[in-house]
Amino acid sequence: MDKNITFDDIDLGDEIGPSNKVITTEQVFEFVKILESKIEPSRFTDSEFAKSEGLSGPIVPGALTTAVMAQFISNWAPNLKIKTLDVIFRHMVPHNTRLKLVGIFTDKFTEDGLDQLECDVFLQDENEVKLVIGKSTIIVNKK
Amino acid sequence: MSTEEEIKYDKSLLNKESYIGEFNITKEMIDSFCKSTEETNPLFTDEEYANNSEHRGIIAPPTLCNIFMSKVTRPDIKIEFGDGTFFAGQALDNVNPIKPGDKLTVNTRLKEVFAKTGRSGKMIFEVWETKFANQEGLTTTLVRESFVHRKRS
Repeated sequence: MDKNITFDDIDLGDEIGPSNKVITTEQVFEFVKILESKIEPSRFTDSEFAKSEGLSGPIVPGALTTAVMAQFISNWAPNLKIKTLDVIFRHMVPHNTRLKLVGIFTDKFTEDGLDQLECDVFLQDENEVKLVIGKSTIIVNKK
Repeated sequence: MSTEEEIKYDKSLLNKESYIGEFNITKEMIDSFCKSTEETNPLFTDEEYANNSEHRGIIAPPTLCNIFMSKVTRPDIKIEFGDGTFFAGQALDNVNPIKPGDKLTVNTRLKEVFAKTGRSGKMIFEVWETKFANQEGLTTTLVRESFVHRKRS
């Protein structure tokens, strides 16, 4: 984790990352187990099930993908608080593949006394195809 | 661009809130969530650090509520359009922090239905908003999910 940042540290066009990432089958199982005591075959957990739905293999749940994108931002500096995160799923995210996260700051403003940043976030595959596109409004806490 | 009046669906469901259920937030749940996402922000993982923060304790990562979205069932709004539906995206608004021990009450409503014409032709967007509120009645999170109806051919 990097150190805290201040509002003045950020200029439009500044980037977060890139950060390489692999979402493993073990992580997907851990995630599914948060709510399910028993892991049932699904497009997220079972290869045959996924293939029966026309997929090439099991995929990462959208909720886990979103969480990873949020984590990418909040881990960059611990004093950043995600106010909103909008995501558009363009392609399925497979397990155990090389992914890349990148972010770019597109706006900064102060509203209701809070210093805020807007950041576009992309989850890409190794060919830089954007699998998931996100936009986040982030509050910069002063401490 | 079409207007809402031209779209045929069950308009009685618009803005009608449906109760989904209650979910208890535990420290173990937050720990598992952090483990699966490789989260290391001390606000979510380090009790000592979190106790000295503005929240006076561990809080949940900002997208924790998303794990409950798979439990949200929605009525069929009977859109008379297209032959295919897909999940287009979601937006999360974090309003108040979620803490271990919170009991979240979840309600959902059909927020809007609108048409758009893109490169692949006309599409109808169905947008649902799900609200999570804690035991004090404070909204913690709003999740909006968009589903797109379109003609495959």
